[in-house]
Amino acid sequence: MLNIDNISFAYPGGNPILKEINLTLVKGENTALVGPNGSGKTTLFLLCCGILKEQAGKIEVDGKFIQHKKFNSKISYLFQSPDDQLFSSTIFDDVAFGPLNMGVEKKDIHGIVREALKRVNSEKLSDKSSFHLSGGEKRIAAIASLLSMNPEVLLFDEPTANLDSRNKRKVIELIQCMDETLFISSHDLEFLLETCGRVIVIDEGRIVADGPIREIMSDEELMKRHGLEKPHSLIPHQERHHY
Amino acid sequence: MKKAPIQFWDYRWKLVSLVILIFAIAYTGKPAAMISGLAFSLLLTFFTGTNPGEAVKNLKTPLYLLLFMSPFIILTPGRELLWQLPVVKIYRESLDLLFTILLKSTSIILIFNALLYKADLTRLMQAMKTVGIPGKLISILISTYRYIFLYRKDLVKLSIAAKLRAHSKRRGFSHLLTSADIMLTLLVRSYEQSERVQAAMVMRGYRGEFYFAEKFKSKFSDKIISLVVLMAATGIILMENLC
Ligand SMILES: Nc1ncnc2c1ncn2[C@@H]1O[C@H](COP(=O)(O)OP(=O)(O)O)[C@@H](O)[C@H]1O
Ligand SMILES: [Mg+2]
Repeated sequence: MLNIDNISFAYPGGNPILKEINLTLVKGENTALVGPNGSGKTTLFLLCCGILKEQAGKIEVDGKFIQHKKFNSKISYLFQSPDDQLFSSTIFDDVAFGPLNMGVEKKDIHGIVREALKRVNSEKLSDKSSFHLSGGEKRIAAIASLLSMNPEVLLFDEPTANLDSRNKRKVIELIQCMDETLFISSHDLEFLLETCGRVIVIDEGRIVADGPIREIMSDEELMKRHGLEKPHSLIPHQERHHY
Repeated sequence: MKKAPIQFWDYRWKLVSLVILIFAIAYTGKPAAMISGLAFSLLLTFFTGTNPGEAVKNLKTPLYLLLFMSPFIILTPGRELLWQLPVVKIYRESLDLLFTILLKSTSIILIFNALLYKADLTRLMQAMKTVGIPGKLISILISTYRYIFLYRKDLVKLSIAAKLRAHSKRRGFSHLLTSADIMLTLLVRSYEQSERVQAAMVMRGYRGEFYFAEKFKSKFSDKIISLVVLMAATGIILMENLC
């Protein structure tokens, strides 16, 4: 579905951030991306949707190469901060923005927006301004503004950052119901365990592990080496002694 | 939330008539014309339900700037000497100039305030497009506006953070330097954020052209209000030429 082929990248005048990254996402499967702060997760996502330009290698979505700053309706990126994503005066306008640009007929637009907001259980946000929403509502609305474009691959950059546990639960339930192909970066390993079947660990610009999430996250040695902690839920419960 | 009367005014009519009014006021130079310009913009402020507090808030910054400049304006030499004080001489021309700037800028800011008060930016953009302003120019206007908005929001946040750390207890040059430093940092930061917003728009298919879901429908009352404003603009111009 998403095919990253030998990608290398450095910011102008900086050290290489990504070195010869190779990976393929399987259609309909959710994949987690973990790594310490500054390991290049956001950079990889920005490359995948064409916001940044790779120095070497190729990225392909559904058989089409990603071109720098060219819109590709098959892939969508959820920014780390929803304030970067929502810019219209109402949530309706934000959710309608993508489809209108894609040439959807005016008479169909209300239905599409309603459908997208319904998928995230937030039809009541339609007429609200994003300036007046809570962090959780903003995140959900930003997701709806991507869903309305019907992408096949979604890149979620730390979707649970700054969310309380109730909103986090909402995002988890939402992701579990989605049949798109998701690539999710996060530091919240418990959240990833609930939403992804596969994990990719990057550190110092390279993929250091790739495989089933429970297996890799149980590997205490590997996790520690890359500055990660084994999730609590994977630590076997100690036998309780009842007297 | 109750809507202010100005929010019912069709955006196209509002935009065109208020912009013409602004040009009319900018054109004036005679006291009678300028004073009636100010009087009308005050009337507009109250009758349209524009919150006077909001108007005062928006007037504050430009007026401070003017206050800061006024000694320089007053001290500019002219031909007709009004007062000879021990050190300074006050000329009639410079007082006139100060008076002119003060009156005209107050009226123009008040009208801008009426134009933007609780305005739905998407609708305003759409109105600009329907009256023939090119899409690229609208995009520049809106991103500048958003940029200033973000800048102001961040500045408020940061100055609260600075206050909490007793920043204002420090006086003098070093206080000024850190303030300047904060403002510069913010300038860069809001620039980066507006870049990200722009990227987010491109990633949703934006190509410099805006599309809108709704059509405008104007009521008879929209035209009446605009007629009143246009008559005022004509009156101001006549006064300027006939008095
Ligand atoms: N616009 C930029 N210019 C220069 N360096 C950057 C820029 N954005 C990020 N970096 C650097 O690239 C590295 C990777 O950043 P990022 O992809 O944001 O990491 P992550 O999302 O994994 O925390 C960091 O060291 C960061 O300092
Ligand atoms: Mg990141």
